[in-house]
Amino acid sequence: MTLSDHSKLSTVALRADKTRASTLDMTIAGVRVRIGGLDEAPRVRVHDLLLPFVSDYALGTPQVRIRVAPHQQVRGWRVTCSGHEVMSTPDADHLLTYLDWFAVAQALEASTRVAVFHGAALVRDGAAVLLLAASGAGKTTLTLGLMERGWEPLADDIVLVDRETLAISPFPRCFHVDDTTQALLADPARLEWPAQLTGYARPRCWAEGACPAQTIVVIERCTTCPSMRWPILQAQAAGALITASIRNALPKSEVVDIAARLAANATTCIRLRNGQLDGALNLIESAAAQ
Amino acid sequence: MIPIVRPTARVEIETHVFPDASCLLFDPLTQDGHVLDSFGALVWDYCDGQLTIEEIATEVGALVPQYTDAKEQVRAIIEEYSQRGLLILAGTSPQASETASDKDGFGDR
Repeated sequence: MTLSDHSKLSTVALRADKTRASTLDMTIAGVRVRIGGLDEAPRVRVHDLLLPFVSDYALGTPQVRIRVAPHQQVRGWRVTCSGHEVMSTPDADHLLTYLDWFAVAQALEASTRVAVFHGAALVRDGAAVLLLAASGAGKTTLTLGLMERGWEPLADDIVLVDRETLAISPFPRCFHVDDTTQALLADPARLEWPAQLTGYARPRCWAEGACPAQTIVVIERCTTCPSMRWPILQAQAAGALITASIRNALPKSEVVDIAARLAANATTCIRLRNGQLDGALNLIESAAAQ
Repeated sequence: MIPIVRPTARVEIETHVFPDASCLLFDPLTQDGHVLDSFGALVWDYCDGQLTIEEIATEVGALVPQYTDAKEQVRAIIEEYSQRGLLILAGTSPQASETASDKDGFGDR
């Protein structure tokens, strides 16, 4: 190898090092995601926010490429994906929350190993409970409440179900915790607050390993009612799962089949009217104990 | 109402039967799902083009003698399946009907 070759290699290595310094590689639901072009300050925060997914596949090819670049017009940042601009913002916190959502959304859309559902899942003593609810129905509050009763979180907001085994994998993404929910926490130390981002908190401990759901709870919110529960058909639970499904690379028929198998394997399926918190938690625990 | 002589399920409809005897029907053409309780699932099972509505009503009625209005329920359920586009209508090709479905695509029976 000549001196000239060495020099070229050094230049390439230096460029690669500089490039890698502004690049964040992650693996989300088995999909390789790369965010490039980040300056040091936002990169540190994005790294902190998405830490559980950060991975080093320097020699691999990302399936999702997101690029962040300065945007002179808004005096902030522009985000592109596959060459198309998807957003621009002057606000650093907005950039972070957007990247948190967008990276996950793009990865899930590309995933073929799992079906994706809008919900939460927790485990205790080897049994998993799956909570299905529309946004605002109190899913996160119930999740945090169950955690304080010894349940370990698998996921909040997005639940990944293996298409073959039906096991729910841990998906350690930050919870969205508002002030009202935060005030209900008996043990705030259970959560960490990465990236100095208001409303984004991550449990310090997560369930290890994956397991299928034995209890499915379909939640409806009622601020004026006492908490109540009643049994539902497994077919109704499957229907609720399908309604809660988030589109990805799997064909709809396969998602329907996965939802049906999940519901068929559940020992208990209930609908929960989520009124008073302690009452709702008691009802979920009693259903899970059946 | 288009008369249905021998109720026949559309071949595209995917049927998922559960241990609790309930049933979920998924129509891949409309992407709609339909939840059936055990009685509805029993009637659906008879919609194979072999029997007339009255014959189905008689057989199902005999299976569930505790339901005194079983025959009326069977007729009503088959009409509902027809309205939802789940059955092949007499004299038509097996395409999904344009019947409106529930808001979220899931109608309970």
